[in-house]
Amino acid sequence: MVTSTTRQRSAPGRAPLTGRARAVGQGRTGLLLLQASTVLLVLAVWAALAAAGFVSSTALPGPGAVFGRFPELFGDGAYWQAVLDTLRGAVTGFVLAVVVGVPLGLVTGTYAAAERSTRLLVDVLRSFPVIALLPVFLLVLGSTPTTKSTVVFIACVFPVFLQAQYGARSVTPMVAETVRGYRIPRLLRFHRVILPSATPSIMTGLRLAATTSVLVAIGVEVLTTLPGIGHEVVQAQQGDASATAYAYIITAGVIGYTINLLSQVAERRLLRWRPPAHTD
Amino acid sequence: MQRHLKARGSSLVVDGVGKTFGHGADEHRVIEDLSLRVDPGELVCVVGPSGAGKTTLLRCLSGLARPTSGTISYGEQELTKPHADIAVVFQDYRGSLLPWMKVRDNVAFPLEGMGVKRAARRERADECLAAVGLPGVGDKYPWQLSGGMQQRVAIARGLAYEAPVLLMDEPFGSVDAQSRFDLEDLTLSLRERLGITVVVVTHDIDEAVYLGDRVIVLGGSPTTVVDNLTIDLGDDRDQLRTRAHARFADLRTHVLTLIRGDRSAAGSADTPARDEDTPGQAAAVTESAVRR
Repeated sequence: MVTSTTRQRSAPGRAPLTGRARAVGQGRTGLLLLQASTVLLVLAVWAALAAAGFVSSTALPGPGAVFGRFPELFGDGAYWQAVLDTLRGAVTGFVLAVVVGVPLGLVTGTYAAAERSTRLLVDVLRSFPVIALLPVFLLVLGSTPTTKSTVVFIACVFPVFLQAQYGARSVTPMVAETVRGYRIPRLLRFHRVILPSATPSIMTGLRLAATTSVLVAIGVEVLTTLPGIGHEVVQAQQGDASATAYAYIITAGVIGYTINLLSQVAERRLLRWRPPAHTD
Repeated sequence: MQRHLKARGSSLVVDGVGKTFGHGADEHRVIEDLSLRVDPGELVCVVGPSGAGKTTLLRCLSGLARPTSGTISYGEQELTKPHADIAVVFQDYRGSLLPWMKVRDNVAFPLEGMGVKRAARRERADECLAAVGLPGVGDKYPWQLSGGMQQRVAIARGLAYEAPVLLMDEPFGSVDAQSRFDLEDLTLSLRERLGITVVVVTHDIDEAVYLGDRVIVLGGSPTTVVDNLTIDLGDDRDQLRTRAHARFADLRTHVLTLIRGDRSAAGSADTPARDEDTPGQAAAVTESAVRR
C-alpha cells in the first residue's frame, strides 16, 4: 500500500501510465480544449459585436484593434512604467499586510481571550469601504505613492488577518493535547504546529489579498492622479484612444491571472505534506 | 514492588481522586474516591466499561487534566501539569501525529522541545523507529502508513521522549487483530528491554489480562476501583499459549464478571467467578459486553 501510493505520487512523466491515469490525462486535454474554445467563443462574440456596429467603435473596438496595440505598447517605456507603478503600490501594500496580518492573526487566533477582545474592533474596522476612505488619505498623505500603498494595505490586511486567525484556531484539540503532553515550548509550538496548521487557511487569505491588492491599486489610480495602469486607462479613454484603454485593462487582467497561478504553485509547494486527495 | 533492577523513575500514586464535569444542575460526577498505585517497572492495565472515565483518569495521570478532588503524585511531587518523566500514547494516533511532519520529525519533535541537537535527534528517532519495528520509514508522511504503523510511530515518539513512564490510552483499539497482537507483544518487549513503567487503559479484558502484571478493574457510578488483581501468568507471555491457559480464562472470567455485574446489579457482584463459565462462553460475552 505504501509503495503504491508513493508510485502514484511520482507518476507524472516517469512510470508508464496506467489505464486510469491515461483516462485522466485525456480528460485534462479535453478540459483544456473546452476552456480554450470558451475563450475563443467570447472573443468571437466580441469581434461580431464590434463588427456589427451595435456599439460605436470608439466605445468598443474589436479584439483585433485592441490586441494590435500591444506591439507598440511593449516597445513603449511608458507602458512598462505604468505596469511597474501599479505593481509597486500593490506589492508594497500587500507585503505590509502580510507582515502585519499573519503574526497578529496567529497570535489572536491562538489565545481565545485575544480573539474575543479584538473581535468587535476588527469587525467595525473591516466594514469601512476602503475606497470611501480614499479622500481622507489624500488629505493626510497627499497624492503620493504612499497613499496608494496605504489604501492597498488596508484593503489587504483584513482578509490576511482573519484567515490567519481562523487558521490558528484550526489546530485540532488532539494536536493541542499532544503538544501539551510532550511539553513543547511556546515558540516551537508557534512555528512547528500553529503555523503549519494555519498554512492552508493563510494561503487562501494571501490569494484573496493578492488579487485585491492589484484591484485596489488600479482603483486608486483611476480616482486620483497617481501614475499606473489605472491612470493610463483614464488618460487613454479621455484621449479617445479606447483601443489603448482596453489594452491596459487586459494587461491588468493578465497580472491578476498570473498572481493566481503563482499563488497556486506556492500553495502546492507549501502544502506538499497533504495527502493527494487534498491537493487535487 | 520494584519489578526490574534497571527500572527508572518514581511511583505514580493516585489518592482519593474525584473528577466532576459541568456545574450546577449539569454537574456530573465521573470518578469518585479512586486510589491506585503504580511502581517503577510495572505494567498495569486499567480496565473498565465504556463511559467509566478511563480516558479522564489517564488524562489526570498524565497531568493534562486536574482532578476535582484528591491528589495524584509522581514520586514526591504532586502532578499538576505534564511531567518530563511521563510520555503519553493517545488513542487517536491519526489525530496525534502531526500530518505536516515526516515520520522521523514527528518522533523527534519532543526532543526538539527539549533542545536536543538536530543530528542527535535524527539518530534517536531512527533508533526508536527501529525499536518499534519500523526501520526506514522516517522520510514518509504519516498518511502514507497504515493504522497499525501509525500507532507504532506514536509509540516510538513516546519512547524518544525517554520518559520512564509510558501511559497508553486504548492504544490498539482501532487497528486490525494481527497488528493488535504484534503491538501488544511489542509493548511487553519494550517494557522488558527498557525497564519502563507502562500503564495501559483499555476496555478489552483479554488484552488487559494478557499484558498486565496487574489489572485494575474500574466500575460503579461514579467510577471507582472495583478490584486490583495480580496477574500470575509469569513474565513470559505468548499470544497462543498464554491465551489458551486455564488460568488466563479464570482471570478473564473474573474480570468480566466484575464488569458485567457492575453493569446489571450496580456493583453487587463481587464473587470471583472461577469455574462458572467455560472460556468459550466467556470469550463470546466479552465481545458483546465490552465492545463500544
